[in-house]
Amino acid sequence: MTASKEYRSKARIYFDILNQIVNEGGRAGPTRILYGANLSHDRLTKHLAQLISLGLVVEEKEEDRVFYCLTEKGMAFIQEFRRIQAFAKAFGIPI
Amino acid sequence: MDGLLLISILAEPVSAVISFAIGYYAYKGFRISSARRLFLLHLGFVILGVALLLRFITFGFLLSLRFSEQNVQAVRGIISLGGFVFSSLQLAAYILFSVSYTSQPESVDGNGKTLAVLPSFYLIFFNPFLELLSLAILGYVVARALILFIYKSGGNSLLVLLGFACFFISHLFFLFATVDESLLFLGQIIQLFGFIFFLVMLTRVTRTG
Repeated sequence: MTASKEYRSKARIYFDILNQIVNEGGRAGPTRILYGANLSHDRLTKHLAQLISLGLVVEEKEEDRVFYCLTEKGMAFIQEFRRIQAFAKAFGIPI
Repeated sequence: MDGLLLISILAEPVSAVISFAIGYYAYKGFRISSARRLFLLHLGFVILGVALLLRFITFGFLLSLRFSEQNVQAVRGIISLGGFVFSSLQLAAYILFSVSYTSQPESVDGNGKTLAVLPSFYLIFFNPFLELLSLAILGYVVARALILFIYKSGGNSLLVLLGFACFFISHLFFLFATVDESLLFLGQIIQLFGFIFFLVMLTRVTRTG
């Protein structure tokens, strides 16, 4: 039996990561994001680096722990993505 | 007839503006998500907007020339060709809509003589064969939109379904416009209602988040 694997676009993955940070109160550690966004550690590290370079997320270090915080730009991206998602859904287009 | 005529003529640029707005939003969605179907939707609405705007501008220009019935007969071939181009553009837009579903006037001064010439003159823009093709493609698009609404019942899906259903009905009226000219103007108004449904959907969507 083969399980159907749903394709996730890069934008969708970014949204899932950022949304998980929002669900954690705007600040989350990598493990929480990893489970919430359903990503491997390697892929999460790669995507987080891209999100930081895009200014959607900032990295904060607290003692020996690392947290990722959502920026205003990141919040704006989430809102825009939700709008686009609602628009595409009305036409039956998955994004 | 004059009031109805004026409304139906003004309906075209209004519809075109709404069409461009939807096309712009679909493009915005494509840039963010890279979803190919959103790009097809963008192209479809932009082409539809261009077709509506071109017909309005051409009609307005011809109207400004204040043709007599004889002059209209003289340029009938050119108007027919223009009508064929506009209808073909509309058809291309509808094909793009169906593919996106498949891959999963110038001022009217009340001059009676000019207005008396208008209906038959305006009617030349509409090609029955292309209207029939548009109907077939739109029938498919409406069916897909209906299936989508049944399975994922949502307010926005219903608005899209109503929008495409209005397009379908308007082309049905355009097809029979040769029998009764008033159907042509009624079709334009129904088409405008279709665009208004899309505009309501767009307004709802932009309030999301």
